[in-house]
Amino acid sequence: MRLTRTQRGKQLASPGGQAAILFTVGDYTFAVPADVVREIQGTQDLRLIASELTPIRSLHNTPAPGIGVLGKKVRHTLHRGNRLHFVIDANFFLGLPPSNSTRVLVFRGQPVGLKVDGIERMTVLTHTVPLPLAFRGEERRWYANLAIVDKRVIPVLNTDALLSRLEITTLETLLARSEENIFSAVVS
Amino acid sequence: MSAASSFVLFPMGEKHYALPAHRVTELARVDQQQVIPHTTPFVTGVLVRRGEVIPVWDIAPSLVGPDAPARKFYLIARRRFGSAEESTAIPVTGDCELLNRQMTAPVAKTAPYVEGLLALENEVVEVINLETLAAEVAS
Repeated sequence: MRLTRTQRGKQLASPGGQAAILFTVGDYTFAVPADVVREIQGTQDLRLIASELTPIRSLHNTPAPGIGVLGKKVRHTLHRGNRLHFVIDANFFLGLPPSNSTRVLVFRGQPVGLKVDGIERMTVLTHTVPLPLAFRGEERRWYANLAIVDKRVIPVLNTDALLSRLEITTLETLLARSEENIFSAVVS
Repeated sequence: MSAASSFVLFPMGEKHYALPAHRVTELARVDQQQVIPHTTPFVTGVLVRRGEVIPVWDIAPSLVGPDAPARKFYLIARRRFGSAEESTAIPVTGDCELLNRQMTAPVAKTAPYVEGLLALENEVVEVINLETLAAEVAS
């Protein structure tokens, strides 16, 4: 599902609030601002990142350097045209037990996707509040704020926290090295 | 030692504890607590009251251990975070009571979060300093 121009950009910024996509992960519902989502995909085109990095392992006979924790966070890639997205498992990112992921939110402006269980609906967030100060843990990084939708408290995801610039560069470097290794293997 | 003379007395299992009355804004019935994923210890969820999202901080495990009975009410208290302040819902196990007493200084063996003591007929009640308790929990 690709968001059309009429769905994104200024048209989504309702004067009464912020357009958002509500999505589910396990038993929880989250929101993400609609204007940061480029498209929503199924999971059928995901590739395991481990398989894309295999040539490095086979040449050096060691795990790909630097992929340790990142390999748990980013298990898949999604290729859309000439764009590559690193897909984060929302369950892992939010410390939730595994659940049945069926959709990928592909973000605009960063090579990142988020694997989630499903899309609940689109809505306009008219009432958002900061995360209470009593919350002192990882959630301060995970959430931009909290929205109240139909008396439900819904965390609004902070998409900037999904992957750091350093993590993206690390993954891009590893994949580039992997491609170089494939090329060397083919020409030799 | 003279301090605030009004206190809200609340039950926590077999014992009672108190908060200075000026820190307590209301007593609420157990509403629908909502849970959001997080990693902060002893924050069990949030309540929505009058458009405000109020974190629920369960202090029972810190005060009486893991076997505290079911919580029946929420004491909504103001908690300080540096120069900021926000409401916190503290689940308690029964009815609360407002009383006027002279607070005495804590004795040496009381926990650091005890701000003072109130002498009742059959019980000496600890007055809780929420900020010190929170710091203790966090450490």
